[in-house]
Amino acid sequence: MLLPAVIIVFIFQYIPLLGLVMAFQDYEPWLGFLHSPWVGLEHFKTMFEYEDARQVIWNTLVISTLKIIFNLVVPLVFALLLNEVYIMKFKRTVQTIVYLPHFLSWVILGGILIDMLSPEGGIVNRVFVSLFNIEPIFFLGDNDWFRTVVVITDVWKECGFNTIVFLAAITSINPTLYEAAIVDGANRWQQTIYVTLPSMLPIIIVVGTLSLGNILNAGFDQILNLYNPLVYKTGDIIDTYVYRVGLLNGDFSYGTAVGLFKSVISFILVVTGYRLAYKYANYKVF
Amino acid sequence: MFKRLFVSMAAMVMTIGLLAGCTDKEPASSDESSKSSEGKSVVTITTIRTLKDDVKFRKGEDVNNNPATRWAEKELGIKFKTLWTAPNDEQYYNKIRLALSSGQELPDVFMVADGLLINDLIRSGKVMPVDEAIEKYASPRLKEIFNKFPEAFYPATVNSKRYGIPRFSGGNGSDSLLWIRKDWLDKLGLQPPKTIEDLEKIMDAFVNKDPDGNGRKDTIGLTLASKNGLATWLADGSFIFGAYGDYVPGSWSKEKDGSLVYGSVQPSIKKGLAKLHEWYEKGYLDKEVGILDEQTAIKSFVAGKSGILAAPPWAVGWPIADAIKNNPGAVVEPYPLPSGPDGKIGRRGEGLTVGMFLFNKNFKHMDKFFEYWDAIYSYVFNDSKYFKYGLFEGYDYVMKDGKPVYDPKQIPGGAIDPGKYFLTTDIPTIPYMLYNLAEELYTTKRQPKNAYEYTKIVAQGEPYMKAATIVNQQNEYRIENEFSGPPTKTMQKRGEFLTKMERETFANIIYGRAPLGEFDKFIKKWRKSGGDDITKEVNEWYKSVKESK
Repeated sequence: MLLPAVIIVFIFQYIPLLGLVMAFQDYEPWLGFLHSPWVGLEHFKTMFEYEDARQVIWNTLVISTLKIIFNLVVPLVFALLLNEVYIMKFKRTVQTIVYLPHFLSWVILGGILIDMLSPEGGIVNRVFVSLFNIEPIFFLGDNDWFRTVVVITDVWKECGFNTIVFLAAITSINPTLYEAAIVDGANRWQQTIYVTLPSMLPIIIVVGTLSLGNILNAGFDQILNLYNPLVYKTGDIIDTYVYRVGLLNGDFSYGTAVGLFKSVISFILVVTGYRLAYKYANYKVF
Repeated sequence: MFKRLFVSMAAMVMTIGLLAGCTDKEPASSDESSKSSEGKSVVTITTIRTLKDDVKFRKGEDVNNNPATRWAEKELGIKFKTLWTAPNDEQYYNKIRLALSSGQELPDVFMVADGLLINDLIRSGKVMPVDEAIEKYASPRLKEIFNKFPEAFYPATVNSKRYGIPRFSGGNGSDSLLWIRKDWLDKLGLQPPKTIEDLEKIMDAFVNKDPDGNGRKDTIGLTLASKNGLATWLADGSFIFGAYGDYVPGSWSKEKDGSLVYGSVQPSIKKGLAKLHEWYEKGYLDKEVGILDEQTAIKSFVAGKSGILAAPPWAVGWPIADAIKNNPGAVVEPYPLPSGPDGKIGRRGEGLTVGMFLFNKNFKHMDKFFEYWDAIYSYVFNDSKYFKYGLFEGYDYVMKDGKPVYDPKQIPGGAIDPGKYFLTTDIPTIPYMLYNLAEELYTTKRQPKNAYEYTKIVAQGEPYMKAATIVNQQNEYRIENEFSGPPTKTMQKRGEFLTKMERETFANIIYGRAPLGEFDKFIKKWRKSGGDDITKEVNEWYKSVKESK
């Protein structure tokens, strides 16, 4: 029964890996991988020579680190709060509503956000202006704001998923632990600190580890739909850069090289994260 | 179990073969002739094409079976076989690239607009040079068009050989003019603009004198799209730069000495940027102008918040029709582009082609192809023996009492544009011809002589004809992009960086986040970071294509 799955993975995940050869060649489509001229590491050198490449690597790191942190902390806090809710109907409703944006595509959300965040008549600015009496903020066209917007909107879209994972972890905590804590005179806050959080540590580490692998994935769809020339300085990331260089400009080899660089770093991070998870949380997949 | 394993292994091996690009076999070419029902010999020509949502079929018909293919088979003895279709250009090009790198045989005839892909295809040696075929088979009138617009062949010219037949554009079909809210002008007692200065007065009034009468200061002067460059196909800003010099951003212009220079780095662009910054500060532009692409920029005009839009004549159908529908009482009129302080006028000129037709080097029926080509063109030339009243009865017209009727309501099932069924993906054009005709029809008020004149011009309505006339009368001000070749080596390497730097600098100057002096720094950096090399390569290309005949 496993065979079809193995074949699919092999065909669609492993065979395309051959395409990585392009990164070391001056790839010409009609020559294919087999006959394109070999250039070795030249594209990688280029990548570190150009300031624009260094800038996008930096942007990617900043945006994705922020996303990883907030995508871990916000759902965790949210799950803990939601766990305190005893009206099941309310809990379920909140859970569903939080989870819903996960299913919307960034193409749609991008359009909605551009409208909502508009400095002229966008709902967010209208609220801000009337509450704090400030000048309207040009969220999507301001280098000081762009990353914040990217991180907040991403957390808003994706936190529902992690919340559900954490909620599941909470329900699997052995109730006797709480009973013992209550006997010892722990209040709800102390129960959370001394029972819930330590019991959830493994799953927190797993979620964190898995997201480490995405540290160079700052969210292609999201950035592509939100960014613009005004915020290239802070918003342009590796993936959008590869897209423009590789697909729009037709420099396939260089695009592949940058993409490969990204994958290698991600791989190293996943392995490190896994080692750490094993060491500190005794978490093991294999 | 073993059988299944064998099948999947076979599939895998085939996929590997496909991806590795080592299938070199020559599939059977598709020139087998057969006999049609009437005993005429029929030639099969294979093709591929994009099939966008605007192509509608009657029930039971598809890309291989529609009035256009039936007509070609019956009248010309050509059976078109569309091997596959793609819903958009991107997927279309990807599929061709994949076919190319996996060594698959190309279809007999197909159209490509992407310069890099055209070049890749030509250099792969799988595409046929067409010089000889044009000489041998093209009808005199086609040759005449070809000779009149030799630049149209440049995108597919390599080593002085021509490899493609251009699918001509309207020439000036997508050139813009000003669309202004006439009702606002009248309300505020203003005259249409003749100069940039007039335009500024109008924009000032549109912003500060509450033209929509809602008591709020919520209107802007000019709708502009700048996210994808300031010279573009809708909400175009090129006229602002054209008023101050002979260059528009993003285009390669010809200098007096015959060399090409890049528009965005010419000193006159600075004046245009300074103006845009001033306009932005005064509130004439959308506050979000820096992040608006063409589709989002027009929202302000459609919503009745903006009074001026630079767009081509076809904008009457969209978005101007929407603006009129949304804002009761709105009157939108076309006006000529205003002139700058030295009397200069200029606008981005559309390129000559919308794509090149390429041919498999094993294709043996160029004669048939040119026969087909000429037969479709005969409709435009008004001497067609096939399309007397329109293209296909029951699609774009019906006969009532011996007379053609073009009213969509009278055509059973509604009107459908069968021009899109042709290989040309639309009724072919001869550059500048359509607007020339439109001007003639509009100024002389003569009756349309044939179906082409009627459906393509008169039926589009008076505002369209007026706009086309204005565009045509300002033809001398076109600033065309003279570079139509594939991206050069340095463009591939550094083009992305340079474009990014250009857009960023321009946006920052308009917003006042960078001083105007930043423009001079930009030029220096542009030249140093590959711009000089690109200019050299572009000129080498230009020389090489000009030397071909």
